[in-house]
Amino acid sequence: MRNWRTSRYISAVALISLCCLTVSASEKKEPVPKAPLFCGAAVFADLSGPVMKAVGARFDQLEVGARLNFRDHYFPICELGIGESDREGRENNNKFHARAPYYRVGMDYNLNRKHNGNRLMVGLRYGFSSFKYDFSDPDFSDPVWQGAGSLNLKNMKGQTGWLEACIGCETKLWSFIRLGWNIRYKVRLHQSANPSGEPYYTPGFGKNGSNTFGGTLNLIFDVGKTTKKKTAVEQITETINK
Amino acid sequence: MRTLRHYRGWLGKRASLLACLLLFPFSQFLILSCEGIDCTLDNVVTLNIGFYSSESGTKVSVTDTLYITAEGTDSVLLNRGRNLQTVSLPMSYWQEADTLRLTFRGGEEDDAYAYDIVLRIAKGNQTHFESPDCPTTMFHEISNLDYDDPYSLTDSIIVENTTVNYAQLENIKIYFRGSAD
Repeated sequence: MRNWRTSRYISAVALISLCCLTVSASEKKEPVPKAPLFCGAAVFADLSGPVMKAVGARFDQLEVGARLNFRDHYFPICELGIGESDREGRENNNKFHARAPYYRVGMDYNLNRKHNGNRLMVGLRYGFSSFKYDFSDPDFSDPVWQGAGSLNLKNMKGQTGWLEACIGCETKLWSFIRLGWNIRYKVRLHQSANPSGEPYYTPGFGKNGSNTFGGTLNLIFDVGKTTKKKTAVEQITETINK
Repeated sequence: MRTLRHYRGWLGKRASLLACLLLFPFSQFLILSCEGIDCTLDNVVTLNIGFYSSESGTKVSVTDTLYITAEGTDSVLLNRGRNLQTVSLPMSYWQEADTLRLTFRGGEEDDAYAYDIVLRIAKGNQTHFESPDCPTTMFHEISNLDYDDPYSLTDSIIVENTTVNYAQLENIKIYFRGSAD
């Protein structure tokens, strides 16, 4: 039931968002000039991670990234972050902890043919994280033989690689500042873990499993652009408007 | 119509910004709402012993009353089991070997006779966890099986599956002489 409600909510919001983009994209029907090969670069930071940390989510991350812009369609991208999970069992005293860096590399493609500052992006990423995780169970004891014991496993090594398929959009807020979001479907490609158990959380991937969903809300800064010096994309936009 | 065009234009100018802002609560909801407890339902780890006839090779029911105790604990692992084809027993978490005593009693009020079989099972122990929400358990790997059968009740006792975990596979097969009645 929970999954069905979540899916319905996701579908509704995604549909509304994409309809908004469609309305925007269908306003003008003019021939689109080709953008120059190199249209600039940008750096960005994920806003959802600090929010998750502030509200005490079961895991959170701090993530930044950089990307290049070729022809306003191709965006080679690199993302770096630190993921953390510090979680206690809801019905017991088990504790799990992991905190480690992760990275993703990949490419976004802008589906919007017009160079009007709005972008509808699809993309692929490969993510990887090598990390250590802790698990403890202070009440772990043999129910029959009554052997004394508490389980305290530290610094177990894990490695995970995964693939992400992304879809999202972004728009210009002001001058060189942009806001964008994307949702991601993540598929685990490979994993190595301690024989005692797989990690509950993988930095950058989320809750461990064969697949999961995620998303980011990015504040994007076009690099090297000032109000005096306009980007190639903006020059094209001005040409179209004239 | 003019009003509609006006609003359409207004929406068009701000559509992308609206689309971006819509996802802010959405992305948080997406990540935070998918929380659930995903523990394995069959999370009991037991050693499974099956009883077989050496003549036919098929599974048989033990018609005597069966008691099973273990060294190192006062707990009776199985009390007054009757007509059993399989027994499922816990294993110790920390010991390197478990010694199980299977006592078959029969006659009036189970006092007429009693035969024992003693199994010594050497094993390795491996802690196992899935998530902080799930109970921690211990898996085992049987490395050796030795037994005493002073009354020659059995033809042979073999290890079928060495891994003792959630899979609930039959780990040990006891082949009785005759039909085990």
